Amino acid sequence: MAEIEIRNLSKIFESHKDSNLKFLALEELNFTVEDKKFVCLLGPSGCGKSTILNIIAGLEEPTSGEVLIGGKACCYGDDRTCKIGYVFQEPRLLPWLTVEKNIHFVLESQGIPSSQWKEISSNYIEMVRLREFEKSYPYQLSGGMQQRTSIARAFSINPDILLMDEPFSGLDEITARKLRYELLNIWRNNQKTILFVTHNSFEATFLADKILIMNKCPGKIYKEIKVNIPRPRDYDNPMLFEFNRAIVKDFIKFISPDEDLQIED
Amino acid sequence: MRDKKGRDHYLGRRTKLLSFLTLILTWWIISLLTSSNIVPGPWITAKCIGKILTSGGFFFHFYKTMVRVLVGLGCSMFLGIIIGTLMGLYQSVERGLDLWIMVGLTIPGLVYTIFSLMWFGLTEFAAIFAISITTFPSITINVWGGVKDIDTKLIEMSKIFGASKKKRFFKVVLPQITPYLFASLRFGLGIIWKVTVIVEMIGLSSGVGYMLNYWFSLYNMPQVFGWSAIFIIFMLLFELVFIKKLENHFLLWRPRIKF
Repeated sequence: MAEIEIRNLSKIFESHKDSNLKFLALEELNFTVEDKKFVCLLGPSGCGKSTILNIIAGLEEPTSGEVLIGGKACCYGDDRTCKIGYVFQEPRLLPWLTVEKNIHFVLESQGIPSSQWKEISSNYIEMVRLREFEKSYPYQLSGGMQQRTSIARAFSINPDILLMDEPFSGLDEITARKLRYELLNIWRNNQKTILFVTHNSFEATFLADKILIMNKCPGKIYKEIKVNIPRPRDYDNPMLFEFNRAIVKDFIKFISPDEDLQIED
Repeated sequence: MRDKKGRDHYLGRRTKLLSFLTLILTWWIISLLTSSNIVPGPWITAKCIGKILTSGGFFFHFYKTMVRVLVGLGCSMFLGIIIGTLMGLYQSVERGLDLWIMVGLTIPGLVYTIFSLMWFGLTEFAAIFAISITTFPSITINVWGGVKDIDTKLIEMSKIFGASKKKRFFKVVLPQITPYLFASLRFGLGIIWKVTVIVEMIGLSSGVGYMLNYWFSLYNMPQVFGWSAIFIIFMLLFELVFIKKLENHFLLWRPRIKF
């Protein structure tokens, strides 16, 4: 069991120069990512989505409230107990290591014995279809291939939870689409608890079991929507479009209620 | 792809050989137009080099210079890496020191040499002190720049994936400053050869610089040419064989720039 529970989470940023200058980034967040579910956090830029991930990953401490992973409080800093896989917006591979060695690096960091590295890495590299590029350096790969490596790396440590921070937003739509399919396939065979941040509502609809919609200043979750579209999903499924349209309509009404935006039906 | 690589390699070699031959040819032509007391030709210089290499004193002087160069390089790298790293990591150290590093960089090596010889006498220690002090500011600047350039996102990544502090330093920080360490090593070597010769010229009674000064005072141009040539050739070999090999080994991962 590795569900993520967020309770009354708030984050206030203080200016380094003037401690009176405060900025309320997240206010009283409460949500749960159920075990082995795929949950998307959908919101506009600057609403604090990445801050939530940073807090869950233990890079930042919340001002108040708590994060429970698998029922246990999340520790900050170097003595964290749970295993977290992370896929960033940029691949963040170590450029001096090959694809294979990049995966070995995280396996080593997790204290997995070196006798198992080879088997684990080739397994996950196979999964993202990069077998021929095992010995390539990141600069020799395309953006999509780099991001695949990053996904393989995140799964390779057999994480309790997986955090993804707009991993496909830097890719062209065709590549992004392929990778979304692949991600769902991998996830189906490796059921993990995933929290996926995005500002793309269609992406959220396609991927998620549940969508948490946020608004900004301060960052708050104002709606939780269950996506009851059967899997495996197809990009051309009209249900997805219907669903997406409803979300967007709602989204715009809420984010900018004063503006007279018309959406044609 | 392999073919193209081989061809590039071949073309590179050919260009290098061509430029080398051009240099020798130019040298030879100039030597024909002047007397051997002004520009001794390649053949006379080569004969002179042979004479120097077979003379008894050569290895003694050469060895002395090498020790000074290497010990000086070691000291200045050590100082430069420590101070440069601290300056890159802590803003307070940076603010306190950056002006002084700049000052240190602008003072000529000759000035350090004179100071050092007047303080410590005509000793080996004075020589190495002068050599290290002259060289370390430029090494510091390189390392400082390297540490400031570290990609903090990669450090964040390694933290999330649970890498210990030690692992983060050796596997994430160090590889990022390696190119800068090599740059500073090269830079340091470039300066150190020059300073060492100056120090030996004015303050010591051994080493390549001392021999250059000796033959200078006798006005023997072929000997001056010969000693200089040996020195330069050795320097080049050191750079091409040793440092280049090391660099290739450590920096294989960097993309080649195509401009």
